[in-house]
Amino acid sequence: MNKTTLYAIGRWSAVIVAIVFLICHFSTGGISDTPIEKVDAAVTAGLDMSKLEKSDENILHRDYGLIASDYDGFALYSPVSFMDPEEILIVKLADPSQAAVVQAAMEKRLEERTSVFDSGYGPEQYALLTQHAEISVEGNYVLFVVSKNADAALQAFLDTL
Amino acid sequence: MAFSTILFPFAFLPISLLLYYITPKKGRYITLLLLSLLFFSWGTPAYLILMLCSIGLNYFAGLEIGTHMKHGSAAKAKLVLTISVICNLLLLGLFKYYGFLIDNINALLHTKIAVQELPIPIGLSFYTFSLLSYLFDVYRGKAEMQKNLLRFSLYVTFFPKLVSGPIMQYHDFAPQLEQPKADWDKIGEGIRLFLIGLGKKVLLADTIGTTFYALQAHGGGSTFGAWLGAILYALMLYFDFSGYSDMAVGLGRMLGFTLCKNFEYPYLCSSITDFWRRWHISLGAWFRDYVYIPLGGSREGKGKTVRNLLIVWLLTGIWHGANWTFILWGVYYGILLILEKFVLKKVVQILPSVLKHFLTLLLVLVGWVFFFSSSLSDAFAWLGKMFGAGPFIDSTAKYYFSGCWVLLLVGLLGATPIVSRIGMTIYHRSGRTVMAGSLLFFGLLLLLCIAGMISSTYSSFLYFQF
Repeated sequence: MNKTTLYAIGRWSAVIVAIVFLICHFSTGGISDTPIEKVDAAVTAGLDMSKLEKSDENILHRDYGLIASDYDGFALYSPVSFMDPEEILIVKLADPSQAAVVQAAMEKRLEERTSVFDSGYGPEQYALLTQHAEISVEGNYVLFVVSKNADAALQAFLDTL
Repeated sequence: MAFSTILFPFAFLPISLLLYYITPKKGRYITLLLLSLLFFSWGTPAYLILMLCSIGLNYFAGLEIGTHMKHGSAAKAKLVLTISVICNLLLLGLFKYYGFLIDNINALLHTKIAVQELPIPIGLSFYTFSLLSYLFDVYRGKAEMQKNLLRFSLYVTFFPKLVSGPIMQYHDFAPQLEQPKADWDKIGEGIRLFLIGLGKKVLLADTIGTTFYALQAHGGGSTFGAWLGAILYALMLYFDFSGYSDMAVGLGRMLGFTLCKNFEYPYLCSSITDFWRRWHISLGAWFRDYVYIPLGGSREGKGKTVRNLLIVWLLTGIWHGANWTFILWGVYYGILLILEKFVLKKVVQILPSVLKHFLTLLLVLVGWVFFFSSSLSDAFAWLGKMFGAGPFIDSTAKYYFSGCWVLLLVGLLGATPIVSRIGMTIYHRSGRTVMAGSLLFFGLLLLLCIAGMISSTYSSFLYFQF
């Protein structure tokens, strides 16, 4: 076997491994076994939580219209004061097909909160909601975060899964 | 891991420098490679497999191309080159453009094809261009094929340039892989550059950004607000990206490597051509050397030059992101450069330099509106406000201007070489007073940056998204 044949085998082997990796990665859609408690701890670790309080399934239903028992788990932090725009919701889906419903609920919530502070009423809150809000669907997890550190929370979310 | 987070300057960097310099000289590149792989896999460790596949594919492709070229089989080398380039671009496209493509198909054909977007491996656009540079250089005989897999891996993953460049062409970087040249002067120079870059990012870009994002949330508001927003964005982007580049070059120096310059006071430009000689220099050089010149450059008549310029600038726009705003931004510059080169050349020559400078900056600011807008409709709405649609001034713009005018002046001054020249003149003078003054200045700068990093919110570099 000459050198170039060996090199070609090496090259195609790398391509095949990459294809297998990509198929696995895309087909699982990044399904993660990470417990929601761990995701919760990672996301909130770098955030200022002083204006937030942990909320239960009633608040989840009131603010998002979502029924907690439909999902594998959730972590919701709602603002202590109505005038604070910060908010965090992490949902672990029972099935990735639920992602669209949860995402739509989060988008609606963001829209509602933004409209509260629109028209010059609460410009800082409005800026935070329009510039520092993240909604991310990653396989069986969905994150919604409004925080000055939303970028870091999103990165922590992705890293933990 | 961003250079401007506490973790980097206080943990990753000192540990890296220590490990690098306690390793015997012959093995330093292995230490550096391991550190670079750790840096890469910090965010999304799963992508390490993908990175290793990319390295493997291109390493073997380079050997194959080089061997074929040595044996005079140019056609076979070209075939391997073509296949490898396609593989690299497919990988880039899958992560960066797949979602955009499907969204457009759905919008056009009213289909509902589901898009599953995954986080993009850090620095994908930058390291893909480094890999392509290697393949082209070996094919054209500008560099020898790299037989040492570890050295080749270091070229691709070298952490100071991995995330946002500068995009080092392989033939420039290859000699340094054999023998990095580190000494105390270079380490000192590296620390100085790193701190200046950190200051640009933390003290200027992030602070300017706070006002810009607040203004953007109000859509500019008025003519004055829209212009103020565009100017703030221009300064924020410059300090953000040139700050990152300074840090990258500084880190390279600390490790004994010389990375190319990415900025040369771009807002002092007197024409669009001049602007692109000063802004993101390494990307411009890449497109010039690997796309524009191979297409024929400007040697094959006016028609082909126009075609080549449009291709290059369309690709430049696409490279920046999967959004119509970036594509239009690229085409906008393509058209401006064509006009400057063929239609307005004589007019440009006779214009007073102040006017040339002013007009160029005006066009650059218009360009940035496409760059920071999330959609074309947003961009045109903002431009409409800049050019008179709506009130001339509003209370929001007045409020933000009153709070940021000092910062604006500092930013404008910082975008010129005045501060740097004064600093360098003092820096290069010998004497204990100057030495103590320098130490005090950089110590103070570091303290302010630390305060900024701790108190402010996490802010990624703008060019990380590309």
